[in-house]
Amino acid sequence: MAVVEVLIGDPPCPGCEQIAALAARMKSEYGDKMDLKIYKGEEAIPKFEEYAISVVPAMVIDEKIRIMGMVPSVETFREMLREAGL
Amino acid sequence: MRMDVFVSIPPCSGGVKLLKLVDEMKAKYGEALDIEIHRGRDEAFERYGISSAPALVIEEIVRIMGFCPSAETFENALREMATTAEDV
Repeated sequence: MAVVEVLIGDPPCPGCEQIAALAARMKSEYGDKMDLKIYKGEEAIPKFEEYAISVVPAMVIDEKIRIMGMVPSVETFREMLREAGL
Repeated sequence: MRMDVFVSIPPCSGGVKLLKLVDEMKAKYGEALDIEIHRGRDEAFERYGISSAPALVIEEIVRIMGFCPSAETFENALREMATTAEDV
């Protein structure tokens, strides 16, 4: 199982909205193989600081930062999950 | 000229860029610009009915939402609101 953490801002930018929608879509495809956590706004701050992330949207998989400041394509997202063993 | 800049918490790339652009414009236009930065949702964000960050409001009119404009676009927006040549 891969733990996917998505950090988005509040109010959300279009990129944040897109990455959240993409993550939800991937969750519906991968089911229990993917543990998805979306942190928005103030609740994202502790994770933002823990991982020393500089901008959102951001995606962390198995505690490794994979994406910062942009939305990955579906293909890239799948590749990141493949790298995580899915 | 009154300007309200809205960015998200935590900051998005567009918000970071817009804040840098605002700093450049402030350095260029000085006291002609009265700038307030809003971080996260606040009363002003709700009042303007903004749908996404970053956002730029000039003289209480929403000009930009959801991305960082180029410097040229920013200055065009200022010119649109200027009432005299001395404003900007």
